[in-house]
Amino acid sequence: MSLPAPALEIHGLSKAFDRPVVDNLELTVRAGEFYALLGPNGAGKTTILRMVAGLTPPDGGSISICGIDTARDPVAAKRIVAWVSDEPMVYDRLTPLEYLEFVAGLWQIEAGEAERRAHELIGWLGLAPHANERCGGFSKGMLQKVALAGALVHEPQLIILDEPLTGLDAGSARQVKDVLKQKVASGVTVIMTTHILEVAERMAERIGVLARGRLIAEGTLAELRTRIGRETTLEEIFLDLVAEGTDAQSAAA
Amino acid sequence: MRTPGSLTWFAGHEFRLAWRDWFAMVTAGRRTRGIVIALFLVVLAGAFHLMASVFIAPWAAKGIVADKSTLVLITGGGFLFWTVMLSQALESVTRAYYARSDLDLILSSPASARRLFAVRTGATGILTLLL
Repeated sequence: MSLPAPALEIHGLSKAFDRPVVDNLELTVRAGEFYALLGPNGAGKTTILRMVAGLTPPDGGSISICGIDTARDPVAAKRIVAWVSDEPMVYDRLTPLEYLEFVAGLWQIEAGEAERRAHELIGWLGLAPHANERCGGFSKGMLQKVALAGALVHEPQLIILDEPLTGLDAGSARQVKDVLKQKVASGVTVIMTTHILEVAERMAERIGVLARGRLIAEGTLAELRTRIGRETTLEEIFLDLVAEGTDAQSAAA
Repeated sequence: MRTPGSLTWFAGHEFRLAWRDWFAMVTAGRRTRGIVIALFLVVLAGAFHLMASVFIAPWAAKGIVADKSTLVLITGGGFLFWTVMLSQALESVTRAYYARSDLDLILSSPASARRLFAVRTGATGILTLLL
C-alpha cells in the first residue's frame, strides 16, 4: 500500500526582494502532522507561508500540497488550504455569521451548507452570543477566533497559521489551541509559526528552525535536544541553533 | 439564487459592504442622525435648485451665447467636476483595494480574482459617476 502524499513538499524554494529571503528551502510536512516553524524576525517564515498559500510567487523551486503542484494547478491547491495571517482580516461591517458565509462562498460552498457550517463553528468557538453582532467592536481574541472559523469553514486539509496566538488572552489562546489539536486529531495538517516557544514545545510534533531563509534544523523536541547535546528548554535550543546557523551561513558567505 | 463566487455574488458582497460603510459614515451608528442627514440632503437639493432658478434661469432664458466668457465658465466647471471625480475615484480605489485588507483572504481562495477585480473596478466607476 502506498503512503499518502505529504501535506506539504517544498523543493529548492527561493525568493528574494532586495535580498534573498528564502534560500533554496527543502521542507516536507507529513499529512496529519502539527508542524511548528520557528525563526528570528526576518528569517523568511511569513514569506514561505505566503508562497504556500499562493499569495506570493516564488522565484524558483516547487511547492506541492497533498500531491498537487501549486504552479500547475493553483486553484486545486487553494481548495484544500486555509491561511490565517498574524493580522487576520475580518470585515468590521459584517457579523461573524455573514463573514463565514462569505468565506464559504469563496470556496464555492452552497449557501445552505455554508450557513450550517457557520453556525456549527460559531458554537464551537464560543462565539454564539455574538453571532449577529457586527465584528467592528470585537476584541483581538474574538477577531482571531472569527478568522480561525473562516479558515475552517471549507474543511481544509492543510491549515497555515502565521502567529495565531499573538495578542490573545489566556482563555482565547486555550480555545484556539484546543481547536487546532482537535483538527490535527482528525487528520488535518497544521503548520504554524510562533514566537511563543512554549506553544511549539507543547503542541508541535516536529519543529523546523529557520535562519536567513534556510532550514537549519528540524525534528522532534527530543531530536533537537540530542543535536545540541543537552537537556534544556526549546528556548535555549532555539537560541543555540539560530546562533550556530547564522555563524555557519556568515562563514559560508 | 446567486452562485457563490460568481460576478453577481461578488457584486452583492461589494454592494453590502459599500452600503454599510456609507451608512455608518453618514450616521456614525445613530439612527436619528440618519434622518437628520436625509432631511439635510433634501434641503440642500432644494437650495441648489433655488440658486439655479435665481442665477442661471434668467441667463438661460435670454439664450446662452457661446462667447469667450461662457466657454471659460463651462471649461472651468468641467475641470472642477473632473478633479472632484478624480479624487472620488482615488478614494474609492483606496477603500476597495487597500483599506479593507481583504485581498489576502480572497486571493488565497479558489475564487476568481479576475471577477473580483472586475466587480470592484466597475463599482468604483459607478460610485464615481453617482457622486
